[in-house]
Amino acid sequence: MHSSGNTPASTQSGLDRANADAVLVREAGLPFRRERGKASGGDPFIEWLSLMEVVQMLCTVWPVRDKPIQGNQWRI
Amino acid sequence: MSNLAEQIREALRMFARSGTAPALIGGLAVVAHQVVRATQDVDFLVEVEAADRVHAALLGLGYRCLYRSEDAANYVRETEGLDLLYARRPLARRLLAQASERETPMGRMRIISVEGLIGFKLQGFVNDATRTRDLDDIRALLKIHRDSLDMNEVREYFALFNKPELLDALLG
Repeated sequence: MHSSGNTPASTQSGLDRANADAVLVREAGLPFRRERGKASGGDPFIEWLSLMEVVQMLCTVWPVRDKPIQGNQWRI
Repeated sequence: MSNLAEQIREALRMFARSGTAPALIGGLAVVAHQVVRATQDVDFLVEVEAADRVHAALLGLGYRCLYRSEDAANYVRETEGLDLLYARRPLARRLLAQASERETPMGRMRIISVEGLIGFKLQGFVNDATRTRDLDDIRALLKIHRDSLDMNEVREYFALFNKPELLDALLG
């Protein structure tokens, strides 16, 4: 597809076709993974506490251990 | 602060009063090492010399002892659980001594190394093959820390449990 000579959008935005494809792949093709440390100051415990607040709302009765630790291979 | 966080904070205060400084292991240590997942497992590695003092202190806090051996103990208090592994072998003692200290929202606590955590997760799985969550945790830890892990140490743990092929599978 050709753009009109009056509206060279890709030129104006600094995007050539290759870069535009890369943007599309990045937005639609790859799983999103938030960079750690940006939203919560980098503390995984804070992220865990936030997660558990939601989990506890959805799952008010969390399974509690009802049997002892099993096994007889203690080597560490 | 949530009940869970308050439970951990209370446990840390109890350990300090008991004159011992355990290291966090288990699911929460997995979180500490950047694999954030839902868990309410509160597990600590405690020097075996402090086992009796900690046992008495936990009973004093209202916990009930579900099980206790020379290697491990399980405590419950209503909907809260707390598990202990005792560091009595040289390997566990070394891991406890080398645990790093970190400031957390629940207070200052020591946390087992990633390599040691993988070792304990493997031990948990070997002892109870239904604990596939442990394998998921190991796989995630291997992936996220692949550039910084001491793989020789990790291989030693898998060799210790005669599972070298399992490490290859998890890395694959």
